[in-house]
Amino acid sequence: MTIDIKEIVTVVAVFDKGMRPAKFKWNGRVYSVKEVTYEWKSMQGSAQVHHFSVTDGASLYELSYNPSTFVWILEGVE
Amino acid sequence: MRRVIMHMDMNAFFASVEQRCDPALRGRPIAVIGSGKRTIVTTSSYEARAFGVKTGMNTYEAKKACPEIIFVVGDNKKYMDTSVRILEVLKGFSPMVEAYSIDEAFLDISGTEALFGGPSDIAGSVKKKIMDETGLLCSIGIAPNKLLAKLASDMRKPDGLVVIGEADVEGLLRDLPVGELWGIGPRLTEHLASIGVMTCSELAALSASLLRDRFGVIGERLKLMGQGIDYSPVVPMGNEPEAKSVGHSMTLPADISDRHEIKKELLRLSEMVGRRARRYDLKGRKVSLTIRYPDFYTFSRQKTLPVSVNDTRAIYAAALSILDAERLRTAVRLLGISISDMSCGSGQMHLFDGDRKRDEVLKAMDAVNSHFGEFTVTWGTLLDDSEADTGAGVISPSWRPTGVRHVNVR
Repeated sequence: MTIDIKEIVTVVAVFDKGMRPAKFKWNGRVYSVKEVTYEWKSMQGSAQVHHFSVTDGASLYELSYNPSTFVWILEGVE
Repeated sequence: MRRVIMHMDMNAFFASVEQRCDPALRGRPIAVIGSGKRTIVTTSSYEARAFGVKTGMNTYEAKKACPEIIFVVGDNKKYMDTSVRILEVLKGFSPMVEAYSIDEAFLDISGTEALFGGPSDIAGSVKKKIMDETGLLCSIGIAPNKLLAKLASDMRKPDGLVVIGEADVEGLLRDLPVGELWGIGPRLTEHLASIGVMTCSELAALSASLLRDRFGVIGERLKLMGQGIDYSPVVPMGNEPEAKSVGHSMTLPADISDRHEIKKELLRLSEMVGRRARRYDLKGRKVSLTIRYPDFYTFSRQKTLPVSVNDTRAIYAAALSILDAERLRTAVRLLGISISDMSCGSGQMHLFDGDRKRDEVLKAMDAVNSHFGEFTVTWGTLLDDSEADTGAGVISPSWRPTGVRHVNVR
């Protein structure tokens, strides 16, 4: 079951033929992204938000990036 | 030129997307459900279908059929974006792509052999590109028309590819039950059975006049369907016929009988309808209110207005006057509002200052909501339940990736 988190997180992302998160820091702990399992986009008003379903090998997380605010959010954790 | 039509159908679409997202769900029986309390299964994985889990079951029924089932709350934005990406892939093979639903599309691939090879080659390339782009499987049917292409894609799932050639049609349809044809639903199948028609060949053998007498205007079309004939064109995106109505309906989280609560939901629906109509500069002269009772008895009432409207307050006022004329016999389960008898454009300018100001307020609200997201600015009446559902979150079959049929569901 997904638990909503909705917290701003710090992300290290790789830009290479698109963008993908490589690491993120949440509650003082750094999580390494082992695999981006899926990605999609959605509109929030006029902003196109990028969503990433990622796993660190133990849990599944949803990260989102809003390019109009440069903010990454940890949306939820499985 | 020989007509070649392709029908592409994503396999267990929502469930497959969720299985891509979460590796732990792959190969397991899952069902995608809504977030509401009274949710139903919108799609289930093939692993769940093997246990008899079907779309439309409630969670109790699904769990009974498959105790191991995993319920996943669907994320419509994920599915809509995936659908758009798939349609982009398809547009790489033909400009004639019709988005039939969120997970189905027709392509007219007539004359593309020189570019992409024969029908089977094109289908193989389409499947590979969709897999590369999304990691998802689809079934493809190729035939001389849409009716047969749809039939072909339904014949082998998942990951199917069926090509029906002109020469195969007669043999294929001879013993095929009429209910297998696209457009012949359970009621029509029953009606046809009552006159002794069970198979397509039996349907084709009936005279057009008899079918017309029995079924009215669709009689002739039914005969053609029995013969595997379908002249309907592939309607590319952007060329769809004008919307005949704009509407929203909402299954409420719990049945409500309090008039005040009902009115609040009507205002929310009026705003959703008005907002979408205003975005596409459409107005409707008829306002319809649909009510469903807990026993699923559903009825609609309509009011014709002197002028066409898309102002939330005008839609709401019309819906209220319909509601006020009704004596509700019980609580309500679902409410719906739509406007129809549509016209495009601003129409006559306002004579009075007050009306002009009302328009300006709506324009300002729409501008803010377009930039920051729906319901950022809304009506005071709706403010005390900001967390409330803004729709049942179900993607309507009429959903399209662009235009007035594009609805941003949660």
